[in-house]
Amino acid sequence: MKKITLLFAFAAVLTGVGSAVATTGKPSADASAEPYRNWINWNDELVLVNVPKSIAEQHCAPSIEVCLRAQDNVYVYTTGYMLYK
Amino acid sequence: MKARDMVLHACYFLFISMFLYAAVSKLMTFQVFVVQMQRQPFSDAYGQFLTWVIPLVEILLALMMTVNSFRKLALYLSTSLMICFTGYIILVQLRFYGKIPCSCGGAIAKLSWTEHLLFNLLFIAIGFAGIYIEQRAELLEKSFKLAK
Repeated sequence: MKKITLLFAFAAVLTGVGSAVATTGKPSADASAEPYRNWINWNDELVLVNVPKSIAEQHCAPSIEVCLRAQDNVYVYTTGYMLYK
Repeated sequence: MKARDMVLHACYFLFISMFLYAAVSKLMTFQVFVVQMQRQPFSDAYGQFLTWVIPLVEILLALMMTVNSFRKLALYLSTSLMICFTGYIILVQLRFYGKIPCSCGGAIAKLSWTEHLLFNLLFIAIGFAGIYIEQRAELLEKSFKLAK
């Protein structure tokens, strides 16, 4: 019984830490296939130049607000709050 | 292994992996987490304190659940913590604090406040299920000892 408890605990630790490391703070795997764009804020100021959306997303803290917009396409935007002003 | 033990193991498994996932993803994107916490309706000092305390408490509770002698206490504390988080989410949903971002980590940060509320309610239910099973097991053990 103790062995099974330990096994479950070990598996849980691995699952939690492993999935966090695997999914957090990394651009998506197909970042290289994403189009590179210039990104502007709501004041139309240029914030990022020639980066894919996955990278632009890292400059925004998660929230439902629109964070950065692609300069060339109004339908492409990231959500969140700008981390740096 | 009895079905009861399997369910209990599943409860602990889910809590440990969820807390570690949340804590590690917060620490991995610590700068983002700090900004999110600054936007919460707390004073600066309290916000700064919580920035460190929340991930550490999550890790501590997860580790306590891996140790047999502490896991029941950890289950009680974890369920209480989830109730506190859920109370806070309900206040946010009711716009008690105005509009604020979620200060969660990893994939959980992508959930809306309503989804987050459901997620927390699910874990509260898991916590209560675990507590119920633990208490029943304790009662059975006591009556077994008395019968001896």
